[in-house]
Amino acid sequence: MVGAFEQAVLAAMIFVIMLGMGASLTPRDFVLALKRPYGMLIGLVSQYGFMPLIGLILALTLPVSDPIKIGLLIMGCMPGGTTSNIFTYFSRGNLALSVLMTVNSTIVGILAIPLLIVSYVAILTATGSISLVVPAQNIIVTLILLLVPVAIGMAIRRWNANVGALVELVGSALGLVFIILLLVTWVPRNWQFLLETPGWVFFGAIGLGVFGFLFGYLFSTLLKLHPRNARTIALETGIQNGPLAIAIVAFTFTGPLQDIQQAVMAVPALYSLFIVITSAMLTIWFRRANATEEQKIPDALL
Amino acid sequence: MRPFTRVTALACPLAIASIDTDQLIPARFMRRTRKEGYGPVLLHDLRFEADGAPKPDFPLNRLEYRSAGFLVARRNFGSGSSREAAVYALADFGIRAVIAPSFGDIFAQNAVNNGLLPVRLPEDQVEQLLAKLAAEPAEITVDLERKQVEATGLILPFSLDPVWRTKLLNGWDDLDLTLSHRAEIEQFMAHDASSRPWMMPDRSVQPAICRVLEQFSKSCLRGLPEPRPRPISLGQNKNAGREESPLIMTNQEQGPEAGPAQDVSTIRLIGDIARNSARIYGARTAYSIVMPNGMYGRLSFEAIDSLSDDFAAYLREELGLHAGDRVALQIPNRLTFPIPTFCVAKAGLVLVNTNPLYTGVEMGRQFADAGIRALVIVDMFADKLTEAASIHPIEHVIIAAVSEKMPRMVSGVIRLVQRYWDRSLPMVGLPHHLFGDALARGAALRASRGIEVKDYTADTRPDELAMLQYTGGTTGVAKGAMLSHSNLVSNVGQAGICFGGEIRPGAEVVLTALPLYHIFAFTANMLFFHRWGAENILIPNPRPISNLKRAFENHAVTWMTGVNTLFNALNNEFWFAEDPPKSLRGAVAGGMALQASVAERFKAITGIDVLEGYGLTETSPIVTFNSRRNFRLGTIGQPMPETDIRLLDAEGQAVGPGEPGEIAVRGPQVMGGYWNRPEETAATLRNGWLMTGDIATVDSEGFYRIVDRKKDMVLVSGFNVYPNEVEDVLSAHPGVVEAAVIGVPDGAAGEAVCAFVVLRHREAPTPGQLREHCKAHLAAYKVPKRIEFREQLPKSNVGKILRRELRAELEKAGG
Repeated sequence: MVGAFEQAVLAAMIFVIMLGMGASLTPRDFVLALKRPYGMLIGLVSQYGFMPLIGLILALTLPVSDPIKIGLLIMGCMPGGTTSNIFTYFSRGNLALSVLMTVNSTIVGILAIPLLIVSYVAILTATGSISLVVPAQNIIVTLILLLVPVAIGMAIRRWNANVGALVELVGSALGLVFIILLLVTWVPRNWQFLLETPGWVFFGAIGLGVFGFLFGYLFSTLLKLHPRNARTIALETGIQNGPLAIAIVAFTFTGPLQDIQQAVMAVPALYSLFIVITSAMLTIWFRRANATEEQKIPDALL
Repeated sequence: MRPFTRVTALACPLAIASIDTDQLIPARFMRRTRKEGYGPVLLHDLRFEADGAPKPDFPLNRLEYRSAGFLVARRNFGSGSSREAAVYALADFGIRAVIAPSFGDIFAQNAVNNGLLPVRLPEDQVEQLLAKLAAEPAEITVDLERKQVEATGLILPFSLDPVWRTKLLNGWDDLDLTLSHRAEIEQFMAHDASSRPWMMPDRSVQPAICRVLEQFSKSCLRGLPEPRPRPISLGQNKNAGREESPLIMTNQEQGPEAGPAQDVSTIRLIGDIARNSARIYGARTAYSIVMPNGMYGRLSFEAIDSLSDDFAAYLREELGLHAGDRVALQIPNRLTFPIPTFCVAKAGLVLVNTNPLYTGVEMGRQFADAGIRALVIVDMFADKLTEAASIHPIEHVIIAAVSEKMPRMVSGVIRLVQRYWDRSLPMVGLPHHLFGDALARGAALRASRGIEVKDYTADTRPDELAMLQYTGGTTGVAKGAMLSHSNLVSNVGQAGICFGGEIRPGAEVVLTALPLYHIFAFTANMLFFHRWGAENILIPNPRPISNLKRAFENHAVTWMTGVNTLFNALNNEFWFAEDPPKSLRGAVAGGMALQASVAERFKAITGIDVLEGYGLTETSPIVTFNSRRNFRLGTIGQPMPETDIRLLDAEGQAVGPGEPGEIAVRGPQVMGGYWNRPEETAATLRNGWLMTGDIATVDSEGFYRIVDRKKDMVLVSGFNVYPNEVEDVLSAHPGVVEAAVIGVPDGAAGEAVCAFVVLRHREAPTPGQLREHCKAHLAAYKVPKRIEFREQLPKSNVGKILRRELRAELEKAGG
């Protein structure tokens, strides 16, 4: 259960994270994204093609309760997480590509996410898997509000690059802080609930990320992309915006749906906790691979 | 200062049609070099006596003292990009007023600021005046009170812009008569002409122009002192048989927008560049360092000037260094690079640039060779100090923080990362001072002892040693090329002429991703663009290439310099290729051969021709350059102004037309020799010509093309074989990925051609097949006698195949 104070803190954190994302952008990046639909398409296919599908398949096949299924679905439909940028940086991947993909998926997500969630929930309902109604309008509102901090972030960067870079740094770091916060506040409070949670839930939450990495990498390799970019896309696909999912759940499942909020929250929370571990392992592996391939620029001209 | 109301001088009209150009008169203060009739015009500085001593009370702003000539122009004068240059050129010729029907705005403004009076006479009155003057030289008086021009019997009213009038009547207290550029005079003179006689290739017109100028100077400038003589440099044989070369020359002919004016008479030493720019560009940003995440720090021109003064005071007073002492600088592209650079020049010391990535042993060897007394090093690399100091004890160590001079917040973040994340702040094992403290102490010393930093270089001649720039060359043993102030200042001046009117003073933004401790970026990015008031965007580390992304996004970069690898990397970055910076106006390449494919792709992306140049550390460095006007892809361009190039064969004789020969260079930018290596110096500098060790050809229009390195040439039975040629043929075979060719000793034939080939696995040819392939394209003696297969070839971090390593391998294996 998420109280009012926590909701406020959550909102503030999302705001700052989005602010950080905005501070990493210039208007030209949007022009670039539009000019290069091929690149954008790869990212979008991974993010809104594969991931929701993985979420759907897990929801359809795993023997879990309805709220968990919704949770899996929501998690799958999320845009890329800003923590992917940090992990890409440490893995010496293509940071510019990662940032662009995160931004693209966030912007497109405003339309895509509600659409996907509603349609897939319909599929689940149709197949008799669940019998819930998911209020889509709350989701839309939450997402639109996200645009505001992005715009402010962009303005900050325009005004002063130093402050912008600092905001960007803070925003990205906050993504990790969020995980810690989760660990410290949410887990103890829901300990009993977690103990009663069947293993399949854990499988789903962790699997979402791992399958995402796998598909992202395979897809890019199939398209004959440069291995460094393939690794970047793998990280980008698997890492979803956990805080956003939690925020959406917290703000959507209110009022009469408050009872199932805790159950729906389980997947995003578990996902966020475990994705750090899985991404870190992958990053270490990738870092070694990328370092050897780095483009060589002379530091001594002979 | 009482206002001037009358300006009187002798008139000397310079309208083309009315001058008789046949008289060859040795000018008072114009000298020629022995260059088949070429100028240049020797600058002289009226503030000095004939023997070089400064005139004690030369009143710069007393027009009558400088009084010399008027220039009468038939048409609009001073439009176009030559406007600044024209002012300086005229002022230096002793012209005090220009009479014309109209003026370019900026020219007029500049003129007034520099002690040149623009006088507006309607066209018909100009014709009247000219007719009068053609008949006889007359005394012209410009009466500012009554606004009329009087020329013995002729009175013509003129108009004066109200702004100028106020300035004039209030006295010109800040006159500074500075540069001169002969090309501007020529440009003006040809303004009326229907053809452009100064352009290549018809060089016969040059002498005529020179003669006109001489005649003008003789008749107009009577009574002025002889020019200050310039002593021969450094005791070396550099310019034997040739006088100290004046700094202006148009060997490379330019069009009407010839180069920006050169502050040559006030920029004699490197330190003058900083002072000059601080005076003109003041608070503008001189250097911005941009981190990969966009964080930046800035220093203005004034700040650089005053901080380098502080540091100079510190080095001389506090540390007690003497003129000529060596100071090593071991800093990557940071804000702390330009400060010590200009400081060392201003303090009369000698700069020794050191690669920050050297090991302690390499550092120690270089320090020992140069005999350094002080070292300024960045904190990140201070861990190698103990090892270096064990080879050569360093008297004074000054540590500069990586984030020095950056805004507090940014440097705070950087220090946090350095200390706790990277853990790259090593313990310094030697006693040392901190850069920030040194600056503060220097400032305090300046104030308390009233030190004039100018005094340190009051007696310094431009040909004195300014820098020891170490070059590894291809022998692997680093030698210090001795570069004087005039070497570097000349090169900056020459570059100015080459760039034509493309550099807008105070408006350019240049991206510096190449290391400043290498002579290319040092001269081109730092000295040249600093001199022209450009903002320098420093990139601390261009790897990975995405580190440049934020720099391009946050700053409107107008110029960039690079090497082939850098341009290639940019071409392959999606953010650069898809959305190239629109503000980019020019790109300059050097350091290694620019591949045509890379240049073409860059042009396709940005629309800009990459201007390739050629040079060596030993030549400060630019020797040849493709200017925008004289551009040919695939060549290294034409020689810089005042630079002579000859192509010599093995005996030292000039080769025939179209034949390849070793490039020999002579020019003001050529070094004085190698420090402490008389044999190497004697081998490289012969009779004032520098042997570069590069083989090149020249085409009929004067464009040079590098063929190969001399030491890589293979001598087969007395025939020269160029490895590049054989490598190209081998690489053309579909089964070959890349190839390297060297010479191996071969008894009777002298040497034989040996090829190392990396094969594509799918279609591996046999040695026999490769030889057949070569025979089809090459003469028999060029076909490799011996072919070895390898998985990969040794390469430098530039991507150049290291032939010397292959040679060493073979030697070790026993040939």
